[in-house]
Amino acid sequence: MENSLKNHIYKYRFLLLAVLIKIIGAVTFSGFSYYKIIFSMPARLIEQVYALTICISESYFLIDVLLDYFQMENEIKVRINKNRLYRIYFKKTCLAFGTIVLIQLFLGYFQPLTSQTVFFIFLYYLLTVFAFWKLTTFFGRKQETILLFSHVACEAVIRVCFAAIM
Amino acid sequence: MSQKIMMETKKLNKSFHFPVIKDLDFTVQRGDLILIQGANGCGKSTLLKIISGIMKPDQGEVVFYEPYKIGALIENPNFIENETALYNMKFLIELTTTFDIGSVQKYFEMFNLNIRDKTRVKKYSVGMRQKLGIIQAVMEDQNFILFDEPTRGLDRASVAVFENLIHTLNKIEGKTCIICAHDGVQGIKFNRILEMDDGKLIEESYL
Repeated sequence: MENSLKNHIYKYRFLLLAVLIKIIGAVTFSGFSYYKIIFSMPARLIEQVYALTICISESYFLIDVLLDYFQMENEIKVRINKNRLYRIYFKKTCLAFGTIVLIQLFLGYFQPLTSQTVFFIFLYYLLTVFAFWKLTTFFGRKQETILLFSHVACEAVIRVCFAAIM
Repeated sequence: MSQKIMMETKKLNKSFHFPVIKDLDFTVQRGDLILIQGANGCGKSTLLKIISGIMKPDQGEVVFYEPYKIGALIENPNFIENETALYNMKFLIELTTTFDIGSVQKYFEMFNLNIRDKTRVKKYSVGMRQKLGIIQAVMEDQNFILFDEPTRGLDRASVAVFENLIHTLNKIEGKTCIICAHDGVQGIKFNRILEMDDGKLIEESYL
């Protein structure tokens, strides 16, 4: 694979993961398998785990967008003043949010959720991201990807197991 | 070379758990080539960080009397690890101006690095990273250059290249350079040598 393409895939890996999960969700939640799964678990747990995973991958996309700037903070601060650096942070964050919102337009995932569930997901998601963030300061960037993918894999295993039991 | 005061620190103070810099007054003249020596942890890097604006002093201020553009290599150089050296340099240059590969290429050639190399920076050795750190500190025609242990990890040939580079920047182009180092800079003819001790700078020699 061409090096620049590989770099691009690496750069947007979390966003790609979020899209992939949404596509999987769009298929399973509308099919018969969804009804099989939902009756085997506490109410809305599937949706919560599903939305949570997307939230984490999207938030990692946001972190990734800014990570380069955090990593090179000293080199950047020597060149530009603090206000300009904050403006760059703001611009990058807005662009990343914009990208995520654009994807929502095509693949909405909060549709089956009530506002109360969204609140709890958000709370749980903040805690999880904080834990991930802390872990990655010890493990580094490659392990951060492994952590998230293992999280997704665990969710997939739980889904399959419950579907098989039913 | 005209001797004008370019930068001055006024009563700088910085403490972490203990005072590192105490009421430090220090002037730098345009075209100075200064060596700062001192024991580990005596505050050399902290001083450079404060001068370059990376760190704020607890008290005191740094005043520049002339237009300046700072280039700095302080402690370990940081890069975007998953990108190439060229991408990193382009990223830094484009923060302030437009990127021109020619201005960077000469430094890459000087240090025997390939600017078109597709290797990610995370695969670079300590010495190669240090070379990149030196390049980023001088590539934008900076006129006030700060180096903290610049020869760390460099082989003899690269140290000689670095010494030549400093000679060119200072003696020929008239740029101001401050270098903190323990060794590996014997080939550079400094016009001021200072010793940092107990949070203060003591002038050891002035040529």
